[in-house]
Amino acid sequence: MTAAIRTENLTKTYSSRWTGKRNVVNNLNIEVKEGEIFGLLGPNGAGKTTAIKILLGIIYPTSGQAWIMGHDCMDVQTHYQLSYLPEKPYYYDHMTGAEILDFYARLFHIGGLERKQRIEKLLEQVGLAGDARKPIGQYSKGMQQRIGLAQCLLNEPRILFLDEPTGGLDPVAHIEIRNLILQLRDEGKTIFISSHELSDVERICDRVVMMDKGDVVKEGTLDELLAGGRVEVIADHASQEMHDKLQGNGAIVSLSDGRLIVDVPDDGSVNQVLDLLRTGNAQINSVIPRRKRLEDLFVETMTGGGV
Amino acid sequence: MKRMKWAIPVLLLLFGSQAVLQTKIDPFWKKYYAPPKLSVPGLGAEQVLVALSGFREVLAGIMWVRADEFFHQGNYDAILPLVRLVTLLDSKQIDVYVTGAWHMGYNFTDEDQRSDRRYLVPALQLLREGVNNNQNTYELWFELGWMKYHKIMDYKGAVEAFEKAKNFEDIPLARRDILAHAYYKNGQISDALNYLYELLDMNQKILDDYPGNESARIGRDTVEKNLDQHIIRMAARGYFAKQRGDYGPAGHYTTLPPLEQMDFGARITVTEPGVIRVVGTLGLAPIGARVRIVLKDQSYDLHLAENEKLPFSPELPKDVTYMQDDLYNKKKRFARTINMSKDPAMYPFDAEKYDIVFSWSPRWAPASIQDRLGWNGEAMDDKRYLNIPKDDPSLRQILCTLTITKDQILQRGEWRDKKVVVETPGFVEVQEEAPKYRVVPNTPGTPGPAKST
Amino acid sequence: MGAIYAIASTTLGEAVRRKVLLVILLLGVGLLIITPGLNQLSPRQETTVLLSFGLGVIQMIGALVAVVLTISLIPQEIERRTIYTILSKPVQRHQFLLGKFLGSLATILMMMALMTVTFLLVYYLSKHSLPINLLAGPPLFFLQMMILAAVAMFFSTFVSPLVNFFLSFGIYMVGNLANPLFESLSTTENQLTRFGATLIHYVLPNFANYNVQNPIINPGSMIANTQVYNLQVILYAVFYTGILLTLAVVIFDRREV
Repeated sequence: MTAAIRTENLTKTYSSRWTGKRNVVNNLNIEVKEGEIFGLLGPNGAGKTTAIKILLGIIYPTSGQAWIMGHDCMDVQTHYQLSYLPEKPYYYDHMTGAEILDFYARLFHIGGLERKQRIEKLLEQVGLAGDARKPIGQYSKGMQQRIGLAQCLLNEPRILFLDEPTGGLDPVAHIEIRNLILQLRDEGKTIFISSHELSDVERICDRVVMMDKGDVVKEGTLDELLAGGRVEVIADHASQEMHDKLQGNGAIVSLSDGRLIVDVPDDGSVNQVLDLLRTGNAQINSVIPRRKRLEDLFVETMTGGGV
Repeated sequence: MKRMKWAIPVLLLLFGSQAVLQTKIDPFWKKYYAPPKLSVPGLGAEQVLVALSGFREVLAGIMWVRADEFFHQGNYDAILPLVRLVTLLDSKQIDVYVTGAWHMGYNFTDEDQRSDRRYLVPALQLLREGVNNNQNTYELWFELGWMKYHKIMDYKGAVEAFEKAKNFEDIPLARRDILAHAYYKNGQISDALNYLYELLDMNQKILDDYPGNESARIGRDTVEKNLDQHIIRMAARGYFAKQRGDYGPAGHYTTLPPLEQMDFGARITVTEPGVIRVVGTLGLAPIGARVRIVLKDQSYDLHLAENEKLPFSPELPKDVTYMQDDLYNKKKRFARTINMSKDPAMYPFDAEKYDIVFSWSPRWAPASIQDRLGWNGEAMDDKRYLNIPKDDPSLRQILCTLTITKDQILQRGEWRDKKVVVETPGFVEVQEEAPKYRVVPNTPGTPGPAKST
Repeated sequence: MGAIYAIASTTLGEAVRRKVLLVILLLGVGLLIITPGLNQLSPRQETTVLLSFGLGVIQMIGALVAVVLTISLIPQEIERRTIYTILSKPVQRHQFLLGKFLGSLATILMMMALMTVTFLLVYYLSKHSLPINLLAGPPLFFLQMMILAAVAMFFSTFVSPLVNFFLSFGIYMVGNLANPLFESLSTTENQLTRFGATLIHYVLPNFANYNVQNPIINPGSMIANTQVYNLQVILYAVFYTGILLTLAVVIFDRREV
């Protein structure tokens, strides 16, 4: 089966007089399967947007190659099968929601009647049917994002590129977008998300690649990447004996006034700790998982290894 | 760049095509669309830019309004550069040529305090340029002719210009007469006669077409009267008799014989630095003759005929002195005091030597004098100063040149406090009657008006 | 074609809403309306001043609209990132560029047509007649603006709008002077000057070809059949616009946006 997106040693070098040559994307090799939700994660300046722009044929790679559905990404024909929602998009203010969709539909060469039907359906789908005759200049941020999504779906794409899709949106909108993405995935579409944060949306990614300064630093499922989190256990009425024993097992423990706080690695040893506490008649107050945030992961990766 | 290989042949093809096309476009554009030719070579880039941009005619209009303001404020020096610019911007503004030349020819030269003949050169140049730029109307030829006829008394030049003007259809009938006057002023007697007949026919035809029209009748009557008068004069002065070859003895005609002696003579006395008293004799009893006096740098002349063909330039030769005045002859004598000390800009007296040229032509004279001397001075003689110009052998005129030095005029150097007198050989002063003018006393020992050089 | 049309019409729709262009247009219409008042400048040349000023305004405002509008088309698309959504659609870059250019042309055409109609009205109201040859000017001015817009479009693919403004107007000036300059310099002794003048004449766009107002403004000049000339200058405009747009496409195609 052909990969939806595949890159081979994709490299983009910028040279400036002041800083010399700099690889913004360095030997990027990724493969996104059809129907997958793929996340390209990394801090600002990691090269995510540059990679997307290359995939969309907006800029040219310095070396390497990329394919969309098996075709060279520089071939404009591939654009019939994909859509792109840029970060913080801006549309022509003077046009109404319906007009802007009509404009983009014309760029896809979608014929008259079909165009009209699709636009109506999409406006309905993103909940803008009532505001279709308003100029976009009067839309709220959320509405603009939704009209953006609508224009992305005009051509019934097989691949969607979403650049920072939740940037600047409120938590309710996050959930809306997450549900929409899941719905699209269920329709069999491939979703390519780029993000610098790890919100609820990114958590639905089937697979992620982490970039930093142009290089791929980690790759895998989110669970794999975030494995190795820690759990905090708090118990009252604990004894000095328990403390010593746990400390002997290598855990980080503190005891004061009978309250014991244990920090254990998230690798199944929690049960042992809990067993020990229970047998010692300590009262377990709380067990809190302290999962890794993406930022931790970035920091971890950049400092070169686990904490 | 490999994807753009198609662009190179396309570009080459298009580029070649447009260049070839441009060669085809050029001649037609040049012939019909090119802006009116700027007649002054060596124009500055910014002037060309202004002149070629849009709104040229509008700019010209705005400037001309400003020039008019300057005139009413008496700021004459500011007008000429504007005239230059306006006519460059819009070479079709006939009013600007006419008014501009008129300012220079009359307003700048005839005022009491200014008698600057140097302006005649640019005045003629401006009219010439106007003529060249406006070949579709009689107007500027007419104006050029008028200035030569009336101001300069160059009747030959006037005839040339009026003859051009006559050939345009837009010349009004009433303005055609002037050519007849120019003809006989220039001694072209039979030309004047023929032209008057021609004019009479034209006027008669109009009167026939519009029988009740009062102005057509007046027009016809005027020409008829002029024609009658001309024929009478020709008869009285013996023109027809000469033609027939039976010219009678003295008394048959108002003119020759006898040959009248003019006995021209003049004396210049410097009364104060820069002030001269001129007295002289011209043997004509009837009043109306005006002897022309010119005081000028010895090395300079207006050379109007040659200079008028040069491009119009409002710049005057600032270091040149050129004074011209008329000496009114009455009872065979003339006298006048001419003060050149008041305006150093006009009379800088930079040169070392000056010519004082007296001239008098019977062609300038009124009909009463011409009745005695003929149109060309046929009945006039002068032992010393009769002059027959090479380019017009039919004319007999008076021409006399004296010289004077700068030190003499300004009474400085060896001439300080000395009486300076320059006169023609054998000058005999005719006793004058009680003077009607005030003589400026010249008291020896008191310095003249301060004069800086 | 559909994509080009869509981009062009959107460009037109946006351009007619741009305040700076509307102000320029209003200025032009206002100037045209006061034109008859300028008659006092030259009472004997009323018609000449009226024509000179009217045609001058149409030309000047046309040039201003052409440059001010076109220099910002591409940079604005990049600045507000609308270009990404467009280029991620099946739109070739040359289609985008051509669409933008045609939109610009449509705007210029509309504004110049409006000014021409205003001028004809003003002329008719003050003179009670309409010389037919007056209509020969504005269409050729439009062709001139088409080349000017192409110049601005070409520069907009690689320089900033401000630099472009001066470059485009500079070329417009030189191109307007090209004919008389060539004529006066082609006779000079200096080989280098002559070569320079010839080069400018044949290489830079020759805007002077379209300055046909002199026979209209100045009475009494007869003009031969202009059909061939008009055809030639139309072709010239098409060729030259073709050159500039091809160059623009070549540059824009490699441009990182």
